[in-house]
Amino acid sequence: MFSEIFRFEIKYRLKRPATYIYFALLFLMGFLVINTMGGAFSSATAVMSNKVKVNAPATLSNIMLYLSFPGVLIISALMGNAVYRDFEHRTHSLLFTTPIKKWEYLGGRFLGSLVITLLVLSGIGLGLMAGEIPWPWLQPEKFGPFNFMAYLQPYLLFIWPNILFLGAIFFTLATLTRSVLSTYIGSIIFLVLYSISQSFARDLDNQFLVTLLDPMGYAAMEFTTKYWTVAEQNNSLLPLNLEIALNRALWLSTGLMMLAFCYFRFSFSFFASEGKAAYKPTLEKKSNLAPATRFLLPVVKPVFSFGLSLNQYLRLVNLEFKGIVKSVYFIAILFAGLVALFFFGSQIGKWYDTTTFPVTAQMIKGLISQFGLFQLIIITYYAGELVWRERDNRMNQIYDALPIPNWVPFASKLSALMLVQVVLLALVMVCGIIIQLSKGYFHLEPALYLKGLFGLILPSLLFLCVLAMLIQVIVNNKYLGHFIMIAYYLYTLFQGQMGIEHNLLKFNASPTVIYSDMNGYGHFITPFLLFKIYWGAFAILLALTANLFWIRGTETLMKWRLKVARTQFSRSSGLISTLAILVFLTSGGFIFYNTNVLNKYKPEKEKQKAIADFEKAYKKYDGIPQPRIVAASLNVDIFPEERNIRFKGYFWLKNKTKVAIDSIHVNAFTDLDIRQLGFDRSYKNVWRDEKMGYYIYRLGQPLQPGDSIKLLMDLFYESKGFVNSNPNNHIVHNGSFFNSSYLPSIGYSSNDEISDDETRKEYGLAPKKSMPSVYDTSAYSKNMFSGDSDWIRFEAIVSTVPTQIALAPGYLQKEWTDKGRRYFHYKMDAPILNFYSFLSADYQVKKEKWNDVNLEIYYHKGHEYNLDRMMKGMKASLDYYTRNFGPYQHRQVRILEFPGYSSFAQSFPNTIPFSESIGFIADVDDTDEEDVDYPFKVTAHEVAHQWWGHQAVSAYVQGCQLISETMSQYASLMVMKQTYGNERMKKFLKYEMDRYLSGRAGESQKELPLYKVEGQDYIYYQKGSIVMYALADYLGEDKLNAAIKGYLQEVKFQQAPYTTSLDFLRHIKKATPDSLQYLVKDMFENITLYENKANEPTYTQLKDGRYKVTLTLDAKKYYADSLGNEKEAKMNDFVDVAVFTYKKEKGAAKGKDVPVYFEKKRLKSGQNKLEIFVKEKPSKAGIDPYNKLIDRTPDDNLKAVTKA
Amino acid sequence: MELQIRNLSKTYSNGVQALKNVNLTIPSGMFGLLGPNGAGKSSLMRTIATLQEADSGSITLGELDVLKEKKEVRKVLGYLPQEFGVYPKVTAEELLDHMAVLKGILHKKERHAVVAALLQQTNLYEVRKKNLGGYSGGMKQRFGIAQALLGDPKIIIVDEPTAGLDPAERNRFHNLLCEIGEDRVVILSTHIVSDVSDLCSQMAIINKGEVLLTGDPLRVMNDLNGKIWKKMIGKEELMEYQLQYNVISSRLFAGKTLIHIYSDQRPDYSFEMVQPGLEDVYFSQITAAAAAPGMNEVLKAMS
Repeated sequence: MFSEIFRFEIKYRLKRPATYIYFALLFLMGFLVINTMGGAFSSATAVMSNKVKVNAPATLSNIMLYLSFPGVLIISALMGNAVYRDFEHRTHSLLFTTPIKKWEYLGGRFLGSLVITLLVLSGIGLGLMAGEIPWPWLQPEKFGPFNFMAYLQPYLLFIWPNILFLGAIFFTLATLTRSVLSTYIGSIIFLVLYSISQSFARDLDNQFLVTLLDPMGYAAMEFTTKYWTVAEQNNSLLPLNLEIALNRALWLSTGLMMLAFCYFRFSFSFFASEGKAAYKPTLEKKSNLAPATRFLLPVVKPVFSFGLSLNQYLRLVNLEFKGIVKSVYFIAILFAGLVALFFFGSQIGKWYDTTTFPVTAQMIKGLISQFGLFQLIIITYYAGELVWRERDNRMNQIYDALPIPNWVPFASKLSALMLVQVVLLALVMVCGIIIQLSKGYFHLEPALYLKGLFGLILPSLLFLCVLAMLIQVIVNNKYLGHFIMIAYYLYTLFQGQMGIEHNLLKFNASPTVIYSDMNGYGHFITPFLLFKIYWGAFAILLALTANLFWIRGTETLMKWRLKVARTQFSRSSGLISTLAILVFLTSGGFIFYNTNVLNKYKPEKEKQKAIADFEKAYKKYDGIPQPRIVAASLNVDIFPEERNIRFKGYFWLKNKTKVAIDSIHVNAFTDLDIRQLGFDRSYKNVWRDEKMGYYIYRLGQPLQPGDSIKLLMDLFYESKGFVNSNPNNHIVHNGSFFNSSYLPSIGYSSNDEISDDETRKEYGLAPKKSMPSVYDTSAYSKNMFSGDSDWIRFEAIVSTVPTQIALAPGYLQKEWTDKGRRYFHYKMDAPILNFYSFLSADYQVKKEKWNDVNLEIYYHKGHEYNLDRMMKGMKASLDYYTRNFGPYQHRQVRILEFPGYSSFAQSFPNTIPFSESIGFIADVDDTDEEDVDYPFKVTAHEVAHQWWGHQAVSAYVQGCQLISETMSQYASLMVMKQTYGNERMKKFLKYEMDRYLSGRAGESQKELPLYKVEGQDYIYYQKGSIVMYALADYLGEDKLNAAIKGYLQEVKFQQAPYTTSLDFLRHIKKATPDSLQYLVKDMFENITLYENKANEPTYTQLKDGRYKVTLTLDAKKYYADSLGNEKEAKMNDFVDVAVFTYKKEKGAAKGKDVPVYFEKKRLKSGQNKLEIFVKEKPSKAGIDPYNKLIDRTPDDNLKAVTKA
Repeated sequence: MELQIRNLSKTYSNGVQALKNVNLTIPSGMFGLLGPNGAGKSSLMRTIATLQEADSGSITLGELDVLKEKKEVRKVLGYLPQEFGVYPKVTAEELLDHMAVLKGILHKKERHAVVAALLQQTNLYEVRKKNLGGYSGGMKQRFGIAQALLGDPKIIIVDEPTAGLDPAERNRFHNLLCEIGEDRVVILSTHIVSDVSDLCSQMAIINKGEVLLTGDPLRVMNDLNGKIWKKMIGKEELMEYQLQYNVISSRLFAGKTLIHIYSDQRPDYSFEMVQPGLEDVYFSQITAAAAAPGMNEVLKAMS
């Protein structure tokens, strides 16, 4: 019996077209993903090369798990249907009365469907495999050798167990509830579990919970591979580690328990089978007599008018709307969505585990990103339900024969779906306000909510509704319709990579709108609206099409539908479509005029090509003798309304070479309108390449060594119309911030050259070192900030509109108003680097003083939250740095807020532009030990740059960021430690460790030791933090600072040749005792990783009351190469060994483990046995408890001590 | 008002020819469309009800071209499909009111009056506040006729309305239909002969997409006068009789088999003449059209 049911199930499924469609869709997705990644579209789009192979095991398992997310829908459709089918087709009464046993029936159906589901889901792997075949359009260098295990293993560990577990759940739900709806609700629950586990994942302390919580096992896999280096990603298969094993065991057993539950609960009975516990037949008195009265009805005269149609439409909208919002599924999704919203709300803006204030713009952004998925589900699902509502209720024939105009049913359903979106957004708004109020934030901005939600988000949702309805109408199969929508969502993620970049070609696309408290919606809003009009018109056309193809009657063949559509194309639909086409073309034309005629439209590929062309054309001039900029004197007129800038003034250029220079090469930003660019003596412009911005001037008289010449300029930057994407965010209505890169540079600069070797090969360029070697002394002549200058004199008159304050480095000499414009004259009293910025905004100013230094913060009104923290940061920094590094070169420090289009702060001479998004709205809780006061931290880092970057300036060679960024990071850590104490650094350092380790996992080229870092921020920031913090501990903070001070004294304000990390290391090594020389080498010159671990420590109490702790410590040290291949190194290193005791202060709620023994011990590779005697009862013990050394599993360093 | 169907043909995509050159003229009053399951009745009715396209031919309702002017047709149409569902969680009154609006009765008072009257007439008034989910088959069917009658339709199409009803319900339903069929075109399809003989003034027999016979039931019965003979035979003799005579129907009666045969003369003394019923008309048409070729083959094989 069992085998008959099993075989029948398989045969039945194999006959269903859906089985093949599902398989084909998965196969196709896999195939496309590999092809996209493998460079199939490389001729159309700029692909960055990556040392991780496309078919690397880690990449493949990642893709497979991702693609199995849409697979969940398939699993629910296939597995949910196994028994439910009998209820749906009412065959259960036939089957349940046959002498089959329960286990045979359930088992046969379950296993039969399971086998089919396994086969269908194999489409992912097979599609990927087929994509890996060396097709001619793929780039073979992106692929490693084929590895069958890399495919099999994700199936073994994840996909198959998931099918079993998910299948069990869906099977049980549908079988016991006898409703297919429950499987949908089931899949929603997974989604919510997944997204909650994701929002937990922001906090490093929750990692383990996160890996358990995600039922699909994705989080566990992510956790396992997150520190994997290139080599590991390419070569290693997923291990069955504790996290993965526990996760799988948990959910598999859940699945099996569900199956058991299903078996015991299921019965072949009919009572429950009707699924209507509340079924109450309506009884009536029966009579067999004909009605006595004649059949008389009140005479009515139906009036068929537009008014009637409108009334019918409104009633149907109402009906359909209520039908959606009252349905169980909607309520379930909504509930799930709201749970996700509130979870997210508590994590808002988290950065280093510290939240921001729930300002409205952040709320909107965060809530929508969280809730958006649920809205997509609602649109996708209910489009199908609406289109099929009459048919599902078998009322379609009655409805279709009713005298309602053709547009009414479709329009009312579409409108109802749209109305649901409006209601959902209103709900998001209410949630946002509740979250704000619950956090004690009372600055409510309902108008901003309305604009942000209903102005910006709603249109796209509405257009999406149209698309979803159109698809449902056209394909006329609910489930296929759902699937096509999902395929469409996936496509939108990939379309950029397929070379489709213009927003005119991407349905529903528009340039991104970024809100800033300072600048509002700024210049983003006009193009946004235009694109929405364009796509709106298109959506109307789609809606009209859907309406024409709306099925009325029983004809479903395309032939007939086309014929019917033709006859239904009425005059009014003709009129509307003509209008829509008109709007579509006009707005499209206007957009095109703006993006492609007024502005240059360059897809990424062309931009890359332009860079390559520039190198090909002008590389020959690299390194020819050129004068260097020694002074800049500028009039900068900022026009915030028009978003224009005018630069007028001059550079002094000085011939610092030993030869006479006869021609000067000038590089100018191609977007500038050059009104004047010339010299104060006779010259001839012999080469003029406006397209690439390269100009060569031959001087009448060659410039002799030591002589100077004035480069005169009058340049105009004009914002014209708008662009397709990434508009200029530097010059804005309020909060302009741009730097000296707008101004001309001298000679060829190799900074912008393409660094990626594969891409270079594509354009026929020879491979290149992304940065000159640290040992290349010929490169020491240029500093890291500008290649055409050393130290310059700087002076600028900046003007702006009267409501704004304009700023530049230097000290304010004078301020005046002339012809309705406000002028500021700034002059620097000491030489600065050729690296300066200009800002203009409507500022409030807060002023304080530290000794003789003026401290000023220019901020946006309403952003007062953290001004005191920043002031405190500036004071503490100046205090520490002047004491430990040397004097501050300026008399002023200014922090200047700029809009949050970028999230950074940057240090210019006495001037620190500081993004509104990284500190101005941070909500630091001083009572929470884990909160990082990052406004303070960022301030300290930027102030440190006044020393590290503006006093000590590295040559443009490898390791240059060690001098600027690592040192600023170190300086700020020390200030933080001094202010907040050692304890509060732990969380921050934990994040730094995590970011370093995941950073190196994401390395696309090669990891380098710190002293040779080539611009990888995870090395110079994160590794730098860890290494320097540890070094201060090993050497002693004062000793280290003395060495650093010595270095700074030697190199500060130095001219070419500039210093490098080698000089720095020389000073450090000099201060390091012989016993620790290895450490400096490991930290700076090697990529060193430890694998330290404490094995279960025990203690025994001695007679004298002391405790003997027996510790077995595993210690291992590895050196990694640039791709992460590791080699074990011999270890004889000093490592912290510690024993803690548990102490609870009086009155404190929680106790703490405090060290009773803490010492650096020399440990050898392998097992180290130690006996330690302590006076207090030990609670924990271990190796390197504060994670000073880089260790990928830091959590096993410390273990609880048990009694022997 | 008269419904004219001319040369109507329809073939489905699976190759089944549902309608073969159908010609019918349907006057006011009850018109019965009789035929076995799968004869094409529903196809024909759906086509008249604007729900299905025809490959060729035409249908006119008075001045209206039914196949083209669907919008106009729907304004005067009442349709009760063979199979239909209802929204289970809505009451009869609500749904009928809703459908009244969709039928164009916008005026609230008028609508309420019509809805109430229809519920009265269909005997659903007492249960009007009950959800349709709890209705029995007969009640649901009466609700179906109520909605079909909304808006004073000129043509009413009811497709197999009595299938699955118990005799009492069927009786009530007939009474209802009878009342409304006075001054409009009412087309009733059925495979139950007595439905037609009880109700209809005009009828057509349709099988395999073809119209076999049209006319007044009484007259077509008269046409068979003196041509239908009956005989009680043993069960095992049926085959023999079928080969020998044109047996149009056989049924069990008190353990024996009662056969009706069609013959211009009395075959022999053992046959008795019967007053032909509509059933005999029906079976004589169906067997003539369907069984004849098969019978010929059997005969050939026997000779």
